[in-house]
Parts: sequence; C-alpha cells; structure tokens
Amino acid sequence: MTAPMTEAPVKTNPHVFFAAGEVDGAPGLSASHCRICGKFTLGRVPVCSHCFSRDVESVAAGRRATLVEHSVAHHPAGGFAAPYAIGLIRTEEGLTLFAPLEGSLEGLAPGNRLRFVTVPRDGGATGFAYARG
Amino acid sequence: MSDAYVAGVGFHPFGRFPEKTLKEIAAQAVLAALDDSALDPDGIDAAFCANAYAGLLTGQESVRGETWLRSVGIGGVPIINVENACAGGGAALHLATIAVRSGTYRRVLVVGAEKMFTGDTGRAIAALATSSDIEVTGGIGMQFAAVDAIRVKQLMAEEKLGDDALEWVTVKNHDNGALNPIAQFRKPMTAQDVRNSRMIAEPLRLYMCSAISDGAAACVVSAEPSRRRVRIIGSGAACAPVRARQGEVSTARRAVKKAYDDAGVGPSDIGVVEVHDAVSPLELVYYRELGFCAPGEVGRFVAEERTLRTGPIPFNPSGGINSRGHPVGATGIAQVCELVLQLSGEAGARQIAPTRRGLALNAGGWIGEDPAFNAVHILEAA
Repeated sequence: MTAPMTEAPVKTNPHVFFAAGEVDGAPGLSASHCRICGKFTLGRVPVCSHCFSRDVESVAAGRRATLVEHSVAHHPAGGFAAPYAIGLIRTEEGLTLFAPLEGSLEGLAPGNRLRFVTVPRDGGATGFAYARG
Repeated sequence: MSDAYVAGVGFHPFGRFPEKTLKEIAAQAVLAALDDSALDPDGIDAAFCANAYAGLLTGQESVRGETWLRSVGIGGVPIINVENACAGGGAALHLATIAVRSGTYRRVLVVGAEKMFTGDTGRAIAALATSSDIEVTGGIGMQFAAVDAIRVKQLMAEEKLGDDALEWVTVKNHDNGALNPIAQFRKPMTAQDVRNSRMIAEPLRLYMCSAISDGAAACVVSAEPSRRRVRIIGSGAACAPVRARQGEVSTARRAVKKAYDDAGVGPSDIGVVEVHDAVSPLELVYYRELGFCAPGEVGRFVAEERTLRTGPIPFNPSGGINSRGHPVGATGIAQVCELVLQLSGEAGARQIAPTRRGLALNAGGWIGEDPAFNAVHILEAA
C-alpha cells in the first residue's frame, strides 16, 4: 500500500474513496487489486473476490466509469436536496456501485461515459461523485 | 425429519398507531395467532422474533422479542431475535421451519413487528437506508426508492415496458388491498390517480411506493397439523451473490431454487404468490425471477392480466406491501399468513379460486448489486 502523502481530509465515505494526494493515483475509489489474477474488488479487503487470493494491494481506481442506469430522486435524503441523480455505475476495472451523479439532470442515459470527481458536502466534508465527460 | 405446518395466524392491522407501543402491537398479533392455533402461551416451545428498526426508532435494542412476549405471559422458553432488514420475518420463518423439521421443537411462535411511524418520515427513511453497507452507501444520497427505481428502469428497458405497466400493477394491488381488513390503504385507485401522484424517484410515483407503517404478524409453526392442515413444503433462503465470482444468478433466483428444490415443485405447481413489492412495479421483476414467465414475456403477462386476483396466477391478493403496508419485520410473516388464509378458503372478500399451493418471497436490504437477503416459502394445503 502506498503511504499517505498528506493528512486525509474529512470524507463522507472514508472507506470508499481516496481524495487527491492521499495515495498514488488519487482521487479515485478505494479498491483492492489482486496480484495473482489482476482483478479488482471495491474497498480494502483481505481476499480477492474473484479468486480468493490473499495477495491483494490497496489502490485508487474507478477514475473512469460507465453509467448503467440512474434515477432522479425527487425526495431529499441523506443531506441531498431534491432533485438529485443517483446512478448505478460500472468502472473501467469492473467495479459496480451506486454513486451520486454531478451535473445536469438532463440527458443522463445508460452508456454515458463518467469520470470520478470529489465534491464539497455538508459540514465541510469531501464527498465523491461521477460527472459526465 | 418432522413436517412443519402453520397451525395458526394472527395480525395487528398495518397502518399508523401513534397511541400504541411496539410491545402492544406485537402482543395483539401473538394473541391472535395463539387463539387461532388453539394454544395458550405455555403451549409454545420456542419463539423467533423479527424486527429491524426498533433500536434506531424507539431505542429498544437487543431483547425486543423478550419484551414483547413477556407482556403476553411467555417466558422460560428460548426467544431468539432475528434481524435481516425487511426480510427478518422470512428469515425467522425459515429458522422456525428448520427448528420444527429437526424435531428440536414441536410448536414455534414466529412474530414480526415494527413501529416505524414516529411523525418524522425522514427518520424512518434514514433508518431504512441503513439496511445496506453504510460504508458504501452512506453519504451518497442513497434511498431505497431510488435503488428500486433503477431496478424498475432496467426491467422496463429489458422487457420494453411503459409506464402503463407500472400503473396497472399498482391499481391491481390497491384493488386487492381494498378488500383486506388489515391493509393500511383500503381505497381503490385508478391509473390516472397513480399517474397524477407526485414523482418520488423516476419513474416511481408516490402511489407506487410503500408507506411508513406500524403493524405485526404472527404464526405458529407446528409439527402437527391444525384444522387447516397447511404444510410448509419449501423453505429456501439466500444472500446477495458476489457477482464477480458467482455470476448473474440473483438473490431471488437462488432463494427460490432452494425452495422449489426443497418442495419438489416448480412454478407450474403454484396457484398463488405473495412477493416483496416495496414499490409496486417490483412485482413485475418477480414474474421472471420466480420463473412464472420467460425473459421477454413480462409485457404479455401484464397485457393478459394473468396476476389479477381472478386470474390464473394471482400475485399479491393481500394488496402486497404497496397497499397492505410495510412494517418491515412483520412483512415476511404477513405474506405467509395471507397464503394460509387463501389456501384455507378464509380470505374473505379477497378470496381467490381454490388452489393447493402458494409461494411467498420476502426480500431485505441491499448489498453489491442485489437485495441482501431473500427468503422463499412454499405452502401446501392437504
């Protein structure tokens, strides 16, 4: 694992993403890369979910992703003011997760190319999201 | 191995009961189930009690079942608390079935109760959102309506369904719920009513979404048949697969295969189904997932209205979660109680045509790409 390069900021999901400067390749999702099969698992885990190898390393991933499907929520939740978009996304490494979508609510569609971004959230925390482009 | 029968069922109505405690709500369902089973409280060998959110919403942690059952005089027996998000009831019933079949206990009380109405919908929605991996879903605006909306949009794309299919299933289940004396919503509605209700998470509108509910359901699982002679012939459960390694077979397909295998039957042997329609269009997902129609045929299934209460394979004659209400710990047990009433010919105004077997699917939580847990039960009338 790469040693932290700067003091970590307050993050909404400290186990899910790295902010800029935290590790090589950040910002991006926190993932585990298997040195045996080469595949990725979301988060820092002790075992590769593909092959059960325990030879895994913590890395930043998910800088690029594709939108699988999304919904625009019209009811506020979890500090998000409605309307806002939440997407099911698949990263270039094959990680699948829900993520907030930044930017216009118009034109969101399956297959949209997405990029990882960090965004300010309530209370001065840093959150993550995906934006088109 | 012993057989496992459902000897008796009972409910506390589903809705909003601010004047009642969770203990009182649970007790009413327990006493009704004991009366229906012709048992007094000392007739129970063990109990499995399902609840998801009392800790967050009322502060009662840890010994919920013990508090409920002491109020009706049950003590001294093993009381086991079961928590598995909205599928705690189905999980409790799965454990009770195993316990009776094993011969360890002869009469097991299964009770699910929930008190979700606190006057603050936001608190309840926040509690529901904890039924996922909060490290991953916290801080991203995750709400189950949006998760379900995405599932529904994927189905609509795969099956070429329009909003009219979503409205149809909502109207169908509210028609059923209007005839169910324990249902939270007992008012039929039109497709126009559904269409005019406000958007919650596109494409889901308010009347497609289950509400915040209080309520309880209970049953007694027994090694001996009661006057009804309704047997649990299949009990299966599964958690979300690790799709990276285990492929595309969903939680529901895994659980239902186990239940079908356990029962030695398939979809063509089933005459009535209760499914977990936390939003009403999710019922359409289960037409495929449970094997009642092939991929690409959901639209035809809807067009032929096959799942009407009067149709060849009624789904959610109780009104489903969408209309009956969703006090989450109670839901899985209420589904099975509904099957017992239907198979016994005791479902009153919502009674379907005589049939021998019913299936219930109870789903809870979210992990990865799937519901976190599913329990499926298949019941058969002798």
